[in-house]
Amino acid sequence: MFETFKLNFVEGFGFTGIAVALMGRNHPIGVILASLLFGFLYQGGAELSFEFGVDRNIVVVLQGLVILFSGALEHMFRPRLEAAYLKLTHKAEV
Amino acid sequence: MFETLILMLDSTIRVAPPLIFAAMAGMFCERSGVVNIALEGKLLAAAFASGATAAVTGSAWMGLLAGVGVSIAFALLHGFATITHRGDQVVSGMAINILAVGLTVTLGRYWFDQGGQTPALSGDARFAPIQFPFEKELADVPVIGQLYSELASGHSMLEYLALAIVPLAWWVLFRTRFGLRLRAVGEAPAAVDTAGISVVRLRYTALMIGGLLAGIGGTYLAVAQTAQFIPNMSAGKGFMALAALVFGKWRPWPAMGACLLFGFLDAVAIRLQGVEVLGFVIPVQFIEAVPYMLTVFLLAGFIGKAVAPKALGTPYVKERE
Repeated sequence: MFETFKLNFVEGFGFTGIAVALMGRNHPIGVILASLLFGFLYQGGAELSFEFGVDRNIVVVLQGLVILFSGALEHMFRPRLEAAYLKLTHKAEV
Repeated sequence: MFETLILMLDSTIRVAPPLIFAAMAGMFCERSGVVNIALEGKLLAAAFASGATAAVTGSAWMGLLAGVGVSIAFALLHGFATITHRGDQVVSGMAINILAVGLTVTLGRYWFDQGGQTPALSGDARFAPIQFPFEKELADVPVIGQLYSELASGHSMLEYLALAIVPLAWWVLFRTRFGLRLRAVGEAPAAVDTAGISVVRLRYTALMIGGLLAGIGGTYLAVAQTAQFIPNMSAGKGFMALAALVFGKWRPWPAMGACLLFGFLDAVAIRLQGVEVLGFVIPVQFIEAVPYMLTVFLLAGFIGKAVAPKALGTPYVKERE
């Protein structure tokens, strides 16, 4: 890609990779989707800091929040979402 | 030779406290059945909070308060995700680690505009070294003098606290009713629940004790050891502490031994820089890598079987009729 080797080349990609695997629920297709999301975040952060001078580290905060809410707190909204979904589908049947 | 040894032990005592605090924090959490890989994030967040607060208020104690507060807040977040909502404990820990890395740098740049660092601390904003009485007079006495005035005296309060916290942790875990319940909840939460003791409350308490200890460890990094917060200054210490905990088989004294060993290896690495062997200067990078290589080596072969608390990593679901 860069045809050279730099010090600290991977820049924590391995670390983020764990997060991607967790986000993708250890499923190949899930991992593709999750890595796309994180790719958007990285690139978006770089563009934002280039165009508007936003601190690109905010992307790391976003990653943390995404993992927190979609991974660790997955059971927080599930019962309510399930109830809402059942209500909707039930109405459609009637 | 003796003097070199004293100096290396002295620097061991300076390097080990964050490891010891984090290992004890991890011990309380994991003994109660909650995996805590968020130690790293808590150390970092506490270091930032304490460094920033001490820089603004000029008081090391306010820094300690802020560091402990932030660390306990992260512990409660971990508890909310893993105990209340029974989320995956490893995922939650990872989220907190990443959140801490991002938040400290972003807020540091926004508030202080020094590339993520906080302003350097001086005077009352740091924990000053405590000089023992008669230190000067005894310094010339052979052996004892050096042990007393070089090794024992001249550390900050938090370093002595780190050494005092280990017997305290041992006493709480193995000699009190609370400790017995805490260990039971990590082995058989259903039995504890049957006995009429709240599993949720015990685990929250354990996490908060862990938050308190990790907060002190993080504060030590920024306010006592270094005189400012530097981005990523925890540098894997939380993970090293976890390794030490496994190393010590989730027991306070062996865990402290492992922490001191890691600290000593660190001191050796600094000492060996620039030393020539057979006409070659040993590269600094190689020496810096030695503690990590030794960790892998020792973990792989020399600790025997480390048995984790039985309920570690599994959220407790109360049976319902």
